[in-house]
Amino acid sequence: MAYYREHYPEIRSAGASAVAVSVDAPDKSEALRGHLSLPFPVLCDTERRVVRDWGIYNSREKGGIAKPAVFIIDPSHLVRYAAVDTVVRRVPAAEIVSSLKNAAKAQKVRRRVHVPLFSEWIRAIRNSIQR
Amino acid sequence: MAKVPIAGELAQEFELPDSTRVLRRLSELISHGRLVLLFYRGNW
Repeated sequence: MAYYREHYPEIRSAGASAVAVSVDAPDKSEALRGHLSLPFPVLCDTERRVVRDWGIYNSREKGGIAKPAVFIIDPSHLVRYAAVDTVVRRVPAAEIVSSLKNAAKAQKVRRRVHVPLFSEWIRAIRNSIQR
Repeated sequence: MAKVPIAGELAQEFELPDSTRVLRRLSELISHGRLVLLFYRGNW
């Protein structure tokens, strides 16, 4: 979660946001949010209803907890990305942030007529002359 | 137990209190753009 905190400005500028969810009670979650200085809400599924509905409930540990998992949900409720963390495979946080940035970039390109960057051509020509 | 949603499926709506006991709905959280939904182990 520290990774998402560090990269939250990028997530926000890509037009996205984040929330964390666990089975912890509000007081415990609020303590964690403060401890990690999380810039996004922390939700409390104390009844384990959502973790069960989403198929990521781990009943074998600590009285029943969530399996670490990451989803990207778009405004039409469509799941764009889903990954459940296992011992063998960790959910790649960097990949998630870059996918959000790429999605935002793709939207911008679609909206705008592409103009070639003339300044880059000039720079390339100058560099080749200097060499 | 329910199946983990995969890319291309629709996410099930939910409502949960946040750490300040304010109720949050999924539909409200996704109303302005994509949402990264992070489930963590908790209960350490």
